[in-house]
Amino acid sequence: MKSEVDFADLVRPSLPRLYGMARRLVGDEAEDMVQETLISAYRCVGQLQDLQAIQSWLTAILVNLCRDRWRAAKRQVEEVSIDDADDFSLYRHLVQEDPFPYSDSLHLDFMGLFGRDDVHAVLVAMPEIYRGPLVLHYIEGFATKEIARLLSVPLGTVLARLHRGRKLFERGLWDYAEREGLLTTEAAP
Amino acid sequence: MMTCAEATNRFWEYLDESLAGPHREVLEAHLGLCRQCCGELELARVLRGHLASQPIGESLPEDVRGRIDLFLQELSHE
Ligand SMILES: [Zn+2]
Repeated sequence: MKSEVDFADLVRPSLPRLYGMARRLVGDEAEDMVQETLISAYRCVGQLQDLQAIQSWLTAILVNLCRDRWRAAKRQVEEVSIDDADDFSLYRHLVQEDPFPYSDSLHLDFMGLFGRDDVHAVLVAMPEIYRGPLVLHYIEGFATKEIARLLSVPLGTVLARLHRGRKLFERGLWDYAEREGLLTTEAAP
Repeated sequence: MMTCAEATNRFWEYLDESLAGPHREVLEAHLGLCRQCCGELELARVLRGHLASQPIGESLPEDVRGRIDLFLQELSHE
């Protein structure tokens, strides 16, 4: 079945999902990552038994390539200071700063300030080793054990990175809202 | 008795339904008594829902689609 025309037809329906995922995992390098994924997939598409599984197969290849990329960048990431991230509570900030004094649904109002592009901006600003598990678990729907297998790290490492990733995400949302003036423009009565 | 910090650290696992039975029971007992943690849990639920809704209706920008189509053609002529 490794006709070239077939390969393009086979992968084309998966491309929007693959590209979206690549954007969340590697930001601006998404297109390169998708192309690398397609090269790897093209080389071994003959081994694929179940053509229905093409999407999850491409996804696994993409995550593998991202993992290699993150390994190469690991040293740089570890230098990022995140010491105070663990103590951050978005909830406490919302209650103390009270940006929606007339609201009885504080959380929904706060998250209502964030469009998809805003959430994306917050995510891509996070260090990759924390963003990866967060994106894979909460957005792409992978089980934590599956993430551990795909990234070749122990489950405990995935759980610890998810924990810190959630904290960094909360902090990122708050910082972004302040920086972009989301709170001051929207909170006026 | 569980502290608020311990409870907060477990909310996302609780929402994932990956918290083991005994931990879940202790957490639910704490939630029954602590309004602040109920608020924190509600926020975690909203954040989690917001993340899960990110991929819906994904599309490939036209320029990217064009380049990838070209790339697929080149790949097949290697
Ligand atoms: Zn509490």
